[in-house]
Amino acid sequence: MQILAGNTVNLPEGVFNRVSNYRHRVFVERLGWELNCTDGLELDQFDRPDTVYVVAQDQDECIQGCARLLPTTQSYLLAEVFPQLLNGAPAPKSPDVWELSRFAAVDINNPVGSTDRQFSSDLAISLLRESIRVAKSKGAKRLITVSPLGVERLLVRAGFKMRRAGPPMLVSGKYPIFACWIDLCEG
Amino acid sequence: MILVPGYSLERPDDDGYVRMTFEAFLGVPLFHLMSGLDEDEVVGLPDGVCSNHIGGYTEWLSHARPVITLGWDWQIRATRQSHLCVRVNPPRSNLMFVDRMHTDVGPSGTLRLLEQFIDHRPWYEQIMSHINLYSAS
Repeated sequence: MQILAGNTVNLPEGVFNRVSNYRHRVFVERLGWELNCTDGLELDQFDRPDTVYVVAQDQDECIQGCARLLPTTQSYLLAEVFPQLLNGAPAPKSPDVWELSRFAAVDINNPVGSTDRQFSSDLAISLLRESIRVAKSKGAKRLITVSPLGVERLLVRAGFKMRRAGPPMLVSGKYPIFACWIDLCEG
Repeated sequence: MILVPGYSLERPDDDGYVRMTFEAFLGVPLFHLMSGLDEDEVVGLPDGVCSNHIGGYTEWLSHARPVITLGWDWQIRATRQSHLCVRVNPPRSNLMFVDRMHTDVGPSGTLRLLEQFIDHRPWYEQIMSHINLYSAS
């Protein structure tokens, strides 16, 4: 397994397109999120030149996981689309705080277990550790995330120190998402 | 709006925590939000017989603001005679308990108090009725 990090310019050719397709297969086809997509690619207004991607791919260059890092000094998902997840607190805007979103770690070609199991434990942990390393290299001291509840369950069981920014909410009445803080100094 | 003594009626603190004493928390009504099943918990028993260990998650919240959120994983452990539903893994919340001097008891201290709270609360029936309702629909 190889984990890459970079933006649309410096990721190897074809990786970003495969990530967009992987996100479509995970978030739209598997989880049923109602996102605007074209041609089997999931992209939104936060996929910009300054967006940083952390990508896991296997030896056949099949994407196995992804994460998206955005500086909170620019527009980002939580502030623009889901501010209600912050429980009345203002959306953070600081070079110390980066947002982690579109986090997934599953072999979409070999799904195992129930639909509740959206994540491969070992890969999710490796992907989060690498996302933390990359975010730290960009000056982050804290991450704020928008994620499905399953991410929290898995990472808490793995020992990550996370705390909720607010209660989970059902999007489109179906799937629960929530926002949470990860203090990077606590690893 | 539900008024609870010792409970700030404003937004969470800048670090995202809702701070209060454990005693104030005990006065906050919590309401069931959702629960779900993990469907693939199969554990082999020593004598080679397989038994399904049913488990899942549950989410509760306050109606008072700032909203308190509390979730935990649970598991039904079957014995030869009966079954027992217990919390497993640490609870998840946005709470930070403080002492009477308004000093944080810390994440570990808060977790211990939340575990004590959950483990003495009769939540099993409500979770099961929610799951049965959704299973039937």
